[in-house]
Amino acid sequence: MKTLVVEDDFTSRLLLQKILGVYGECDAAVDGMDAVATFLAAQRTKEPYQLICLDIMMPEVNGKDTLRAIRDLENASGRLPEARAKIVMTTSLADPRTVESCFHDLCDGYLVKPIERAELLACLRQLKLI
Amino acid sequence: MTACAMKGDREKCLEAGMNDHVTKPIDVAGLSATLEKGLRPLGEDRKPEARQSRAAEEAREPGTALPAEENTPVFDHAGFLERMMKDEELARTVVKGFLGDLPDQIARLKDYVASGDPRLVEGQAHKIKGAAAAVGGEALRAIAATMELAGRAGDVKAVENCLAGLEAQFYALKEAMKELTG
Repeated sequence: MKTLVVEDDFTSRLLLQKILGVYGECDAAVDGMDAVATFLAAQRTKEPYQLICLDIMMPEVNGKDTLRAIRDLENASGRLPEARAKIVMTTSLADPRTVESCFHDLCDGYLVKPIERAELLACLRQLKLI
Repeated sequence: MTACAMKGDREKCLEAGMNDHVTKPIDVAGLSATLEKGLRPLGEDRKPEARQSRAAEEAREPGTALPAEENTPVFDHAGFLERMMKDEELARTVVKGFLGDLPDQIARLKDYVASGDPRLVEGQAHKIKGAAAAVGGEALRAIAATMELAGRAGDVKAVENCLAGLEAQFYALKEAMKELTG
């Protein structure tokens, strides 16, 4: 499983990378622009990410816009829907159900922070990534 | 609360801006009913579970008072370990990274406060809140959440007033984390 963690906070990023690094290559991006550039580079080398963990609240380009941009790029490259990356949104927002409905069409799951390792792994199992 | 139980006294009290009116001698059941009508039960936004109190914190209107945080632990060591599925090595690695990074984040928050831009202040306080929450630094998370809300309300001065408290909480957390980092 090749993973991209998009998270502006160093500690949360480190935590996710340490947990996910066990399952394969795990790269990181510190903001939305960085994420899109990293995503494109991986797509160009034909080694796309299977999983992208995407923080919603980031300065400049937020998670929601980054999510949309990545899906647009996947569509433009002619990638089949079943071959697209699994994207899990991470959030500290108060109401996860609002988040779920907002991103329902575009993302594959969401996790409320602080991250619980067991919950994250259950999510990955559900998405058949591990 | 008043011993004035004459007809019209209640109306006078409400007119003057009181929310309700109870007469003495106090009748416990009557007082309870009055309080229930006007106040949210204590448990409603201070559930023992940190996650729920966090949700309440973030749902609160900007600029309104935050609940007292005197019972918030500095370091929820057990809770953090639990979230890491009891992997002490993982917990230690993340805590070390956090302790190394946070002084830079606090310095950046100070710079943003000096710049006077509430949007930058809010974003940076949010970041510190997330970092603290990730490692079970509950008291630090609480004060960062207060600062984030103040930033959102455009009140950079209030954030500035919390800076010393934020640093104090960070050092207290660093001390408490020695039980994990050795």
